[in-house]
Amino acid sequence: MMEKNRVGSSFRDPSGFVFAKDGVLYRQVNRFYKNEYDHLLGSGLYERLVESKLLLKHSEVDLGQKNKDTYKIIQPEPVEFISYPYEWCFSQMKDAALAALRIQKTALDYGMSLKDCSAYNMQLHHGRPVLIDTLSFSLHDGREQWTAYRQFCQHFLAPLALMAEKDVRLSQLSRIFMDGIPLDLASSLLPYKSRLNHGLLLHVHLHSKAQRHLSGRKIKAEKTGRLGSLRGLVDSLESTVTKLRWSPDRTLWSGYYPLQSNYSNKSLEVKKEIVKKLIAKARTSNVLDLGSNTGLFSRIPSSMGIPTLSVDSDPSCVELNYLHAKECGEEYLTPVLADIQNPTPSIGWENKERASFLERARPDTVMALALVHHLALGNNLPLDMIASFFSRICKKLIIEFIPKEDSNAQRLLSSKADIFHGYNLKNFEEEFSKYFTIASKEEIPGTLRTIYLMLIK
Amino acid sequence: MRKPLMLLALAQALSTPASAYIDPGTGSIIFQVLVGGFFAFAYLLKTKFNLIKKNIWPFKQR
Repeated sequence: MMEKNRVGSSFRDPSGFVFAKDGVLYRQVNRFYKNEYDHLLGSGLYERLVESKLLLKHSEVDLGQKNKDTYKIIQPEPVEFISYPYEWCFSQMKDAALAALRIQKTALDYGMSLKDCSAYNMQLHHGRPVLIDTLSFSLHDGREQWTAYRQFCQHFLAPLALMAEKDVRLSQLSRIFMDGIPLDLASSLLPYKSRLNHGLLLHVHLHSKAQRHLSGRKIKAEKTGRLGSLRGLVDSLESTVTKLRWSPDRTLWSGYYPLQSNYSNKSLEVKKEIVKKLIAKARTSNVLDLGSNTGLFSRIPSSMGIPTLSVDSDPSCVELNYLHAKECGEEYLTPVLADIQNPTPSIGWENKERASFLERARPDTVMALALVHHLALGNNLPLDMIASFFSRICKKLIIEFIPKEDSNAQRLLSSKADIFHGYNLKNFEEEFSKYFTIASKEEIPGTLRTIYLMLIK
Repeated sequence: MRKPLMLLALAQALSTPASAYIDPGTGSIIFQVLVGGFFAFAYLLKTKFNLIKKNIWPFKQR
C-alpha cells in the first residue's frame, strides 16, 4: 500500500521513501537506516537543526501499516509549495546553499555528515530554506572527504557562479541537468576572470579538470585524509558562496510600480483596497499571484496570513520580491520564478520525478492582475482558452481586465497588427461566464481597468 | 602530462568512499585529498587564530 503510493521522486535512497496517504505526505524510514536515524535523534542533532530552522520538523506516527523494511513512519510538517532550483532567484539559491553548508557543519559536530546535497532537498518554508529530507545524514566515518562535495558543486555552486559571473538566466540549465550543472560545462561557460576567484578556481575549474582526468579510476588502500581538511573544505565553500553576488537589473518590470504611468498614486491605493476587499470576500485558503512583479499585490493576502505564491518570469522582480520578503520576515509569501506562458514541465524518470508547476500549485484563489492583456494581446491567446485555463487551476479568481485603449495595451499593440477584434470587455465577461459566476465587479477610478471576483460554477 | 600521471598515482593510493547511494565521483574524492592539505592548513589557521583572539583579545566579543 505504502509502496504503491510512493512519490515519483522518492526512489534513489535505500534509507526510506516518501508516500502519500489521504492527501498527507509521510516518510518511511527503512530498517537499513535504523542506526543513522537513531543517532540523528539521540545525539541532539535533529533538535539543534530544527531549533535553528534548518531542518523540517517531523513527528513519528503509527498508520497501522508496515512492510518488511519499515522501521518508522514519520510525518513531516507540510510545506506549502514545493519549488525547484530553477524556480529560484539568485538569493534564494544562495541562501539555500549557505543553509546546506551550515547543516553540514552542524552535522559534523554531532558525528554525522550529509551523504547527499541535492538542491531539490532544500525547500522554502516560512520564507527560509530548510532541508526536507530527514534521511540525508550518514554517520561520519572519520574520513576527511565529503561524499556530497561533487553534488554540492553541481547543484549549488555551479549555477550560482554562472548566475553571478555570466548571466542570471543560466539558472535554467538546472532544468536540463537534473543532477546539477556538469562542472566542465560550468567551467567552459564561466568568464576567464572567474579563475582569479580562488574559490571558483578550486571548486569549479580545477575540480572539473580532476573529474576529467580521474573519473572511473579504482581507488584501493584506506586513507582518511588530513585532519581538518573536511571542515576546511566546507569553510572554503561557504566563503566562496558568500562572496558571489548579483544585483538585479533595473528591468522594465522590476521598475514597473515606482515608475509606471497607468496609475496615479490615488488609483493605485484604490486598486489595493479593491484587491483587499475581494480577497476578504473570497475567504480563501491560499493565493497564487500570477505575474506578480515585485509582489506589491501579493503582500495584500500574505499580510492577512494567507499563504501566497508570488510568481513572475523576471529574475530581477523575483530577486527584489524575495529580498524584501526576507528583510521583513514575511513568512506567508513565497516568491517563485516561473513563466505562466511556459510553466515548468514535469521532468525526470517517466516524467514523474519532478512535477510540473501546475501539478504542484493547487491554488484556491488565483490573482491575475494586469495579466490577461499580456496573454491575449502579447501571446495571441484567445479569451476562451484563457478562461478555460483558469477554470481548471482554481476555484476563485481575482482578475483584472485591461482594454485595448489602455496605454499598456497600446504598447503591446504598437509593433504588431491589431488582429484581436474579439478582445473587449463584453466578450471577456461572456467567455469567463461560461466557467465562472461574477461575484464582484469593480472599476478602478481614474483608469480604464476593471477588477472582478469570479467563483467557479 | 606529468600532472595527470601524478593524479593517477594518487588515485591508486587512496581509499574508496563509504557505500554511498549517490556517486560521489572518483575525481571529486581524489581532488579533495589533493587539495586537502590546503584546506586543513586554512582550517588550522582559522581555529588557532580564533583561539588566540578569544584568549588574548582584551575586549569582550559580541
